[in-house]
Amino acid sequence: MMAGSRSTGLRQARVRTAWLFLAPSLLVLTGVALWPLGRTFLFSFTDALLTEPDFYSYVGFDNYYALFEDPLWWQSVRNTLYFTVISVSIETVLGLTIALLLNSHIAGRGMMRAIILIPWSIPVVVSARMWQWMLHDQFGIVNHVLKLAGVIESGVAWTANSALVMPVIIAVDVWITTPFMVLLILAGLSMLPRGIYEAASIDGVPAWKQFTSLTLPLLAPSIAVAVLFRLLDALRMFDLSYVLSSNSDDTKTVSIYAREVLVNFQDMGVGSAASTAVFLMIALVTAIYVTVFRLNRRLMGV
Amino acid sequence: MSGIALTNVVKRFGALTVIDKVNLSVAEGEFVVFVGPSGCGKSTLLRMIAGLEEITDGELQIGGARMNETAPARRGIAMVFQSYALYPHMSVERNLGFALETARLAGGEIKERVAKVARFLKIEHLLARRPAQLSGGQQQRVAIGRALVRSQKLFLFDEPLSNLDADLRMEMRVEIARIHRELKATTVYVTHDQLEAMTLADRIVVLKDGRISQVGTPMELYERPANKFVASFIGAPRMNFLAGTLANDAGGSRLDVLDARHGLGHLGYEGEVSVGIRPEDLILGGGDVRLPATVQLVEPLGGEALVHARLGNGQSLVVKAQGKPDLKPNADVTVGWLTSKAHIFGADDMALSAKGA
Repeated sequence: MMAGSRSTGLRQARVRTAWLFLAPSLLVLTGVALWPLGRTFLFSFTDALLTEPDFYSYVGFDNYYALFEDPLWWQSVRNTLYFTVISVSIETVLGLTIALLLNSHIAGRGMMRAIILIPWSIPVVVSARMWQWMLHDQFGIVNHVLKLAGVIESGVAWTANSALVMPVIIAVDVWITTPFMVLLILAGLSMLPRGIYEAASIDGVPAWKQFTSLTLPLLAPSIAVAVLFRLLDALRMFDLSYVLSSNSDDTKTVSIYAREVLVNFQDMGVGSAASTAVFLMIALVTAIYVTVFRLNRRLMGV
Repeated sequence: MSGIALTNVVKRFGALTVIDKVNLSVAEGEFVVFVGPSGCGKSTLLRMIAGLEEITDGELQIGGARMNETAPARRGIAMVFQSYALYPHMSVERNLGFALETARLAGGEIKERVAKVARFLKIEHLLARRPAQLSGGQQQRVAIGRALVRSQKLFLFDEPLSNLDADLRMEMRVEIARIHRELKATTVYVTHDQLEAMTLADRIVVLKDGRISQVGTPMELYERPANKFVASFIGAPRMNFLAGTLANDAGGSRLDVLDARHGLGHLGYEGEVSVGIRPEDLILGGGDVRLPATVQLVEPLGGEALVHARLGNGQSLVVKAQGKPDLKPNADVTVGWLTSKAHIFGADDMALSAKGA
């Protein structure tokens, strides 16, 4: 009995210490994440205006009805999902390829690793501005080079043409964030046990089978984490679209939509409803992704 | 056709020579052990035979054919690694069958061969598990099984037992000996443990600084070490070495060790020598040559005991005595040996003769 109660006391002390250590981060999280999120959620049920946020009355689900009846909202959702799926897919394949290249024993790979990170280290707005200039229809270097090469006769309005602007934004995003993919996958690659490749080469396992049967399954957790990070990032993409094609409905993302309603139209109620919807959308996609991947891992037996 | 022939084999990493002109032939069915301290190049030499390291110079033949440029998979070898190198995401069964899968064998035959090897190594009950769920000894068995399943004629082992505890090491040593007895495959085995080398090998190759120090059967190396390095490396506890002086005498040689002097057959050498006597060849209170000593420490091992004794010049000797000698620290004893058991090494550390005459 004595021993039992003493160990319970020890456990209680440990739990108390744990809470003590957790408290600061929980406080900060509440202040900077939970509180704003809660306020946004609250405002989404009011008719508040950005100019006078203190005067409002509750309007129930009216803001959500308004949001879901707006075809522009749904187009923003489509744009966001399209951008996310395409850009993250390309970045994953490209990132994996470059990481595999950098991981092989080639001369100067140390320097290559450093150089490849440059696009990612530049602030997105700066990159976007840079690309905007390079893609300028009259003075841009892209058009200039293409004209010299004889591919086009006159300058293409890359960011004004509604058929081109989304592919252009995806291309720039790939340029910016592929290094991030490379970095995470490279870290995963360096964790792989080297011995198994020697064993496989003695056992006569060809290189492609070593890749599909050893590298890919063992790398899957690293790739999955990298894709998850990129997925969250891409779903709330704002800056790239905003700088490259601020007013185009073809590239409007849900984040831009929410900001537009909130700031341009001063409508805090619908803006908050849109923000809440963005949050729920990202949470939903993440939940689905994590669940599916867990199932997958169990099937693959990692 | 699985004998190995190494001719003037060299391995250089830049300016560093790791393997220096090694010549060696391994007969078909032979069990050869490479032994040496860490950094002596034994693993590198094995990996050169496997094709995991390129051969800088010289020639490697397996089964009479040049193999320098042949891919590892085409050398007809199977290898067991120190780290086991099991595929962590595959079950034991798939680990065993993976190479066969690649060789496009029918599913039924793969299952059959995997089952046969699993039975042979007594790991049938582990087939569904993953490597992480196995103990070290079990992982080692799976690694050996993966090498066996391809039924190659040449087995390479790279320090396979060094990650196991003492009990398991002995068990697996017996197991490896059994596998070799039953399969009669040519085997090259690398270890830094002279005990493994002594118990497993048909022939031992002692390596030092990338060169072969001596090649021979375990008993040859034990009884007639060619140099001081081999003499001290083979046998445990290590051989004792005493400084002595050798001079030519009428009809033979005369050896002075401390206060003891005795005649030997003609060795044709004069000057400083090193006299090596194994702990098990030292006799307390007996022998042809005797020196007074003081007991420092007695380590009883049960059936025998190690007696650490200090000679008049302050040097310590280890004596392996049978039973439990009734000695206390600081007791005066006489330590002696038979001249036929002394190994005499010249200033260049080479043995002057196989034994004192």
